[in-house]
Amino acid sequence: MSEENLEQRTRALVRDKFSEYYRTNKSTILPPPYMERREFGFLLTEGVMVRHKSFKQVEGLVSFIEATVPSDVYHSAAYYLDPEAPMDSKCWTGSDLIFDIDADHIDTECKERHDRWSCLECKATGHGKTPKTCPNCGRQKLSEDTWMCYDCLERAKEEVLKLIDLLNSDFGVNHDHMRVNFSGHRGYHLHVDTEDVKSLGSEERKAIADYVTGTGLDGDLLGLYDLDGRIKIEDGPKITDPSWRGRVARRIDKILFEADVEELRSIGLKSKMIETVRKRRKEVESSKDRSLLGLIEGFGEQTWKLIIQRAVSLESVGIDTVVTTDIHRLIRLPRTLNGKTGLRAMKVQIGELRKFNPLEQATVFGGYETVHIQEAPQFTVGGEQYGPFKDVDENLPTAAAIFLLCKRKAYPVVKPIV
Amino acid sequence: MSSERDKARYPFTSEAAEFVKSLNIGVDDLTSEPYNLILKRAEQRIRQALFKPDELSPQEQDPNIEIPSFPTAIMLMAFVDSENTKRRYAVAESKSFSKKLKDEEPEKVLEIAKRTFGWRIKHPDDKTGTVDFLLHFREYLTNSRNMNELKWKLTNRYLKSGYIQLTKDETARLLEEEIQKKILEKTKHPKVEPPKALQEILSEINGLASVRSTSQDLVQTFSIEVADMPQCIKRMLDTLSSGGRLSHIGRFTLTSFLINAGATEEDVMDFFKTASDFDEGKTRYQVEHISGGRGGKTRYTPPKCDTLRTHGLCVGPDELCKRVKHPLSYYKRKRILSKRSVAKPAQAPEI
Repeated sequence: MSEENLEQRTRALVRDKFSEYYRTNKSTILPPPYMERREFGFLLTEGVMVRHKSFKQVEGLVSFIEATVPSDVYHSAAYYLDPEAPMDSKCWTGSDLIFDIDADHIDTECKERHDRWSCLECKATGHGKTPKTCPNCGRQKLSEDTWMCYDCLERAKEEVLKLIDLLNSDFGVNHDHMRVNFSGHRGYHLHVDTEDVKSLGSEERKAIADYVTGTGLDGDLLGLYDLDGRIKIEDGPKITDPSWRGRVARRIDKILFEADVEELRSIGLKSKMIETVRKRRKEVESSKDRSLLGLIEGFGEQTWKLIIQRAVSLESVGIDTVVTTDIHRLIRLPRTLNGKTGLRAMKVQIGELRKFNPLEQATVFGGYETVHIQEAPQFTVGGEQYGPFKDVDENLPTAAAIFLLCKRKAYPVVKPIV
Repeated sequence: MSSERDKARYPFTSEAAEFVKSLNIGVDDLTSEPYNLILKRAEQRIRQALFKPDELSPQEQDPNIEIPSFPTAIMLMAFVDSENTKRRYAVAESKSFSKKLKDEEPEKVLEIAKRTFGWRIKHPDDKTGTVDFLLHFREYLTNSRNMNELKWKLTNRYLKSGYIQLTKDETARLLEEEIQKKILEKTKHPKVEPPKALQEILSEINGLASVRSTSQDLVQTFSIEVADMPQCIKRMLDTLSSGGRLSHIGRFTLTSFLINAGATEEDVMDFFKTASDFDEGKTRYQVEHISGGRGGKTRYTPPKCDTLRTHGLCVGPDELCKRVKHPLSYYKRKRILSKRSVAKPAQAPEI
């Protein structure tokens, strides 16, 4: 069968299943606050984007979704007087502050297991994170094949938890004003909707994005160094300090206390220094004031720089800065399906985030489907592990089959009529 | 409560505005005695602000003239045509106010910030060291956006529970921005003809405005010289010409850079044709949009270095980068430098 035909069959089956989902789950669709002032956008299964729609009530939105069965549904983080007008006459009145945390932006070891890239020029392939240039021919025409697993979703979640803590302690944002949504793919979206942030422009949002990522941090201005470039002892950073000063202090303390030899070595510490750290650990373990900061002697300027750099990079929250600074951004609507995976985007209560497992809780389809799988690494959907597969027909639970169909790694097998 | 001295010193405050309102002076009154003194003082304010900003100083001995002279000057400036002149005026006035504020007691600064501008500002619970105030991050961000020094960067501030630690001087500097915005807002051109009584003085002020049309950046056309471009832009060109992909913001930066450096839309289209995912219709639309040929007719400039850094497009600064804040200024400077070196006679090669 021609590729075009297979693609059509894949689309038809996915659309069928999505349609069934929306028919039976329409009452769960969760519109954003002030939905009547938002723009809605829909990616139709044929790849056409329908934008500039608006709905006064959830019923209108739901019937539109039911009628069109889009592969993805978005709404604007922004509020407009006239959401249906063309972009420059919508009359922007504000926008939620949004953060996009995606496993794509985080270095994880599991990428080595499940991600692959290939060079479109010389056909070289490799595992793990896609390099900027092909290591074989040096060109930059690379295609990537990315997957997600429990590990990288957990890492993304850790970033969200870090962000929630930072927004709360530094920016004073209450949990009531933060909404966390699983995206239905490799990450999470965090929305802040206090009046304080709504009218901020792109420039001010950039300052917040830089704060969250620790961009432009200056050790001297934060009083981290003494005149010799070593960590300041007197009036130096303390783990109880606010902002990046305290954050860096806490992380250094954690490194000095908990990092194993290998990690200390990866920071650039020499054997003698590692010995000092271990000795000091034992000494302060019993004392009340457990802070190791300032107790480490003999480290030079370079060493402290390396430690501080590591501390900053570990504390920096891995957000996609482009999303945060864009005041017209469209973002996925919770309780709708993600066309790249067939998983459900959904709101997660902050208190339940730690134990939230999207690979179990975001699957929606029941039943079984037979598909022909071209190639897939081991993956988990609905709490079950599947694969790896290569060139086989498989009868899989629908959630797993749809997942592979959405990723275009499989196509439906037509059952013989008789 | 603010005294008359305070109102004369800080005529932008809401107390001063109420005072002026209570005087009940009409525009037509301004040309006759005794109110013509107000008009005179307003004109003096403008002259000083535009030409001798250091001499701007409140005349506290006569608050009945001094206080209304400020809104009068603003009304006059509103009828001035040149935006540049309005900005110069606003900058000079706000600077002179913030200079005075720096010498005030913290209480006074706090009161103005709160009452006139509605800032959420307070004293720290335990006053230690150099911290005078805690200011909500929103007011901080909206007033520090033009400040490029690292010390104003939010990342380098003490921020706790939504509030930022500030010294009195820093607070006065942020208030300066707020006052400047207020003046600029109030000097927006009204959609009415200027009152007859003021036409004479207005033509004088408009005359003043044209005396020095400041060093407006002249739009220069360059022939494109890749060697003089900053590394970040070169990297983008390399990426594209080797068939690589650029992020949306990367494309925007490159296109707006090339257009502003003097490339034609066709030149830019040619560059993009090498892109692996080239779509002629889409690219043409975007290029035309950025160059101002479509939509809002605005010609866009590339983001400044700081923004490129945020989005990971900066490839690490070289020596010249350290002295500029914008990729286009890099290019302009480098062009000048290389033109100079070309102009020097080449030494005869030794044979």
